[in-house]
Amino acid sequence: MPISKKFRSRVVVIGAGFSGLSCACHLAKKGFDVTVLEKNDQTGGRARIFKDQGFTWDMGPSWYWMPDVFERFFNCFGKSVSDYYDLIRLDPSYKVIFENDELDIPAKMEELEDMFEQIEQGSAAKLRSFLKQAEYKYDVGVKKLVYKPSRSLTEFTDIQLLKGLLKMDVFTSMSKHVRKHFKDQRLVELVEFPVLFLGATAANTPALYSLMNYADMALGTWYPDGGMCKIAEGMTSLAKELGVKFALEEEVVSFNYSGNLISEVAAKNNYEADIIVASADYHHIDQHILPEKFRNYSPEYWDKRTMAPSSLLFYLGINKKLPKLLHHNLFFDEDFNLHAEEIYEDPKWPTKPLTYVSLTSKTDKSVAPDGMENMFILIPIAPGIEDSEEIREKYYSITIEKLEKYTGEKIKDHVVSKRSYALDDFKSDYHSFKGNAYGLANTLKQTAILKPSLKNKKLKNLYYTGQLTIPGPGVPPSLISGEVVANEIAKDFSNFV
Amino acid sequence: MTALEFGYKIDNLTSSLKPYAIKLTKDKDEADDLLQETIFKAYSNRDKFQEGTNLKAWMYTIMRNTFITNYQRMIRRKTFIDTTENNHFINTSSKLDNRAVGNFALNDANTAIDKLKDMYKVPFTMYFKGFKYHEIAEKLEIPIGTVKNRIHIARKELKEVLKVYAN
Repeated sequence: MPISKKFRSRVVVIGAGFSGLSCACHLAKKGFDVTVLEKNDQTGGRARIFKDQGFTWDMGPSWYWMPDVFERFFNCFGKSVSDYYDLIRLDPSYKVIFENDELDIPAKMEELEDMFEQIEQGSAAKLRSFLKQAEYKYDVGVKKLVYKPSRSLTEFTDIQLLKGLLKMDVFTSMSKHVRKHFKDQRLVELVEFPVLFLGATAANTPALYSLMNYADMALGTWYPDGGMCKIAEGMTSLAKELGVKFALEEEVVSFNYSGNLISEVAAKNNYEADIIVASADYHHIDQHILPEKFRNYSPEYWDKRTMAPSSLLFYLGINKKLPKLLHHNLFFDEDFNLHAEEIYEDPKWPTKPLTYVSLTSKTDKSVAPDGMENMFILIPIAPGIEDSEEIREKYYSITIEKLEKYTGEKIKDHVVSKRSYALDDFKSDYHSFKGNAYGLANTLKQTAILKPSLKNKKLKNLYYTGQLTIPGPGVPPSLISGEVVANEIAKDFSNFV
Repeated sequence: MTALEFGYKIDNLTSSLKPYAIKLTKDKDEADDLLQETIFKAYSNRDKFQEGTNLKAWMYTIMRNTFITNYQRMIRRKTFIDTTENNHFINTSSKLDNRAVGNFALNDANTAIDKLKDMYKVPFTMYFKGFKYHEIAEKLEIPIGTVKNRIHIARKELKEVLKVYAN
């Protein structure tokens, strides 16, 4: 064995979710000897799959937005997304169901503008200017700002960026920004929904995140043929091609220390390491794996964080077709603000829930038996509230009733496979803090440098990646987070520590 | 100043230079060698002496510089530098260290070092032999941060194993 191989820096990545996989790939490419330890029996983290009776469900993320971020990721390794999976652009992108009305959101910009114009006169032009600003934010935000490690304020002193920041509405709220452009309640909700699902009320989210609307409306909603699981599968194959080793069902329970270094990671087996990247739940590592003297933050700090929502999920197999539903369906048939309030302001189970229903069987024949649908139901709920079988059942009935009313079809009697998933499952499967599903909310006070740090302050060789640190929640940010951390490690360890 | 005058003055100074040579070398024979070398250098550099300046001070300076140069050369002679391509220093480390037979502490230390995993032992022994962090990093093709951390861990482990020798 050549000397360089034998003595390579050994990195242990904890967790095979998107950020862990991304970080592992980037580090392996830089010449590190990388081993990924994963608690569960599949890679993918929250984007695992569940199979039952011929049905397949993506358990977590279901929206494929910002295809350029994925393409860029694979390009870093001389590959392309198409080497690993095929993308299908959904048209219509998705359906929104209001109380007495519904809209199919077209993929084509002209059709979308027509739709806006029909609802509110003059709004097509407003939409154009709104998206132009959003495009700028996306370009600077996603292509430049987001790759900054946010370790110190001086990173933002680049004058171009500073000027940019002001233009990017980091300090005005999303809801004000949206209402400056649109009046019709349906349009407002349509434009505000991405941030609701991404972690905070529009009133508390910086208008910077209107970049999400650019991603949504201009870049489009896509679907990887075979399911969202194809992304993680692709990344896992790429990682293996780069020499990354995987150990599944290896839950990390503690570390061994040598002074202010971690020398070994203890799971079922022990793994010696020079560098550790925690892609698992930040709070879990910080508060439950590390002894008090090495923690980055106090319990009080964590308690004060605003978490993005958790979710109540149902994976249902339906033994007939439901023609009225599309691939993505958003039920905005109840009071938007009330539900948002019950997630963020006054955490409790929603009185009148908004619901998201996805049937990937509309696009993909491989995920359900012929003539059937694989239904995925999501109700955003507050993190940290009580979870029980009765509560889940109550919302199951409400949702099925809602769906039967909307489709005008019997559904309840056609459910042949059923599994629910909520707070307690997030906690037991992912050690998720308060059972959160999306990580930390993107609020005004939790942006950029104000997010938990990607570096442990007391241990010289421990780093964090994933949705609780920069840049934030979501699949594309997680990919970016992995890359940012890999770059920081290479920098730290090649300069003098 | 003619060569004759110069020679005469140096001859007269010799006796007063001797104590300084002994002070530097702490050895009579080496002091004579140093004195001889100093006088030789003084003669051969006669043209560099500026008339009107202090000849004795000039000689003292020559002697001190000669001594420092020789001393450094001697230190370097003791350092083993491997210039071959076969990374000799890695394989022979324990044998080299084992020369001090009969010294229990050293034996224990060597055993402890031998028991370290290569991952830690190699950077540690290289550092011990005088390689700089960046030289080890280059040689092993690993980032300097890893070199430092591995040496740190090796030290910690040795300290633990050899703690009976503390103080």
